[in-house]
Amino acid sequence: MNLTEVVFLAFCGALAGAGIVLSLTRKVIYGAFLLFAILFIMAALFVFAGAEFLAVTQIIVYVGGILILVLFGVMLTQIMRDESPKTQIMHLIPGLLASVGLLVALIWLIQSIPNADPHWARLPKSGEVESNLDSIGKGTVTLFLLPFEAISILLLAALIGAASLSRKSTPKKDAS
Amino acid sequence: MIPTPWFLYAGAFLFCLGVFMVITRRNAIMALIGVELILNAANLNFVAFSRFDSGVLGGQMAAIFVIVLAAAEVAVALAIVLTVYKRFKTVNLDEINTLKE
Repeated sequence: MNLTEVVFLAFCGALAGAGIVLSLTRKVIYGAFLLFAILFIMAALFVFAGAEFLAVTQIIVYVGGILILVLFGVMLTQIMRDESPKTQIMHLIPGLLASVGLLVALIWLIQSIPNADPHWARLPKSGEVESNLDSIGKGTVTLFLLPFEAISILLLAALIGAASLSRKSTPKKDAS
Repeated sequence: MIPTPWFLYAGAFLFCLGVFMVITRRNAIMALIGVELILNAANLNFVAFSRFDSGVLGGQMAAIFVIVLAAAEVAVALAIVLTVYKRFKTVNLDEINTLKE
């Protein structure tokens, strides 16, 4: 068990702790900040998997964009009154059954994978090794061009939809 | 090198946490946070297998597209949540039920 694996397990432990607290907390603002911690730990796990560009993208887009949106949502939908704490979780038994059953099924599936090197692996040639950023840049305009264009259209549609949903509705004056 | 099943176990754990939050949480924002957990678990799986895909990096490209999709989805979902809050004055998911008889 070398140092890399120990640090990876430490990050996984922090992920598990943050996740368990997130699923049991009652306040929404705690949930938003625990999501913040979980997204940073996910970026660290991406670095362990050799995806350093994706880790930085995760921090910029997820933490710096999506989490800010979630915090805005928390700020604008909180009512300042006393809420009874026992009504925060509904359908506890079906939820526990579904999630624990799914976890057991997934763990059983993962441990039944044979422990061999995958024969489909495309390992780097022992000459030059392209950096992550080079491969992603080239892939975006060659092999993944169609998803790239499609997702640009989807972003445009989502922006128009979100902007028109949150527009202030001006009262129309009747001309009768 | 870190063995691949470790990444997959972490992804499975996050996925089940996300499913638990989507099923049991009453606040709409907490359900959205659960959906973000699910998407992150899928990203971790993609990236774990893209370690064996040097040059093409299909897993990392898929993870980038998932991140973009999550951003678009959170924008639209929060616009919906704010509109619902203006109409119903609450974001509790079991009080927003005037569509059913």
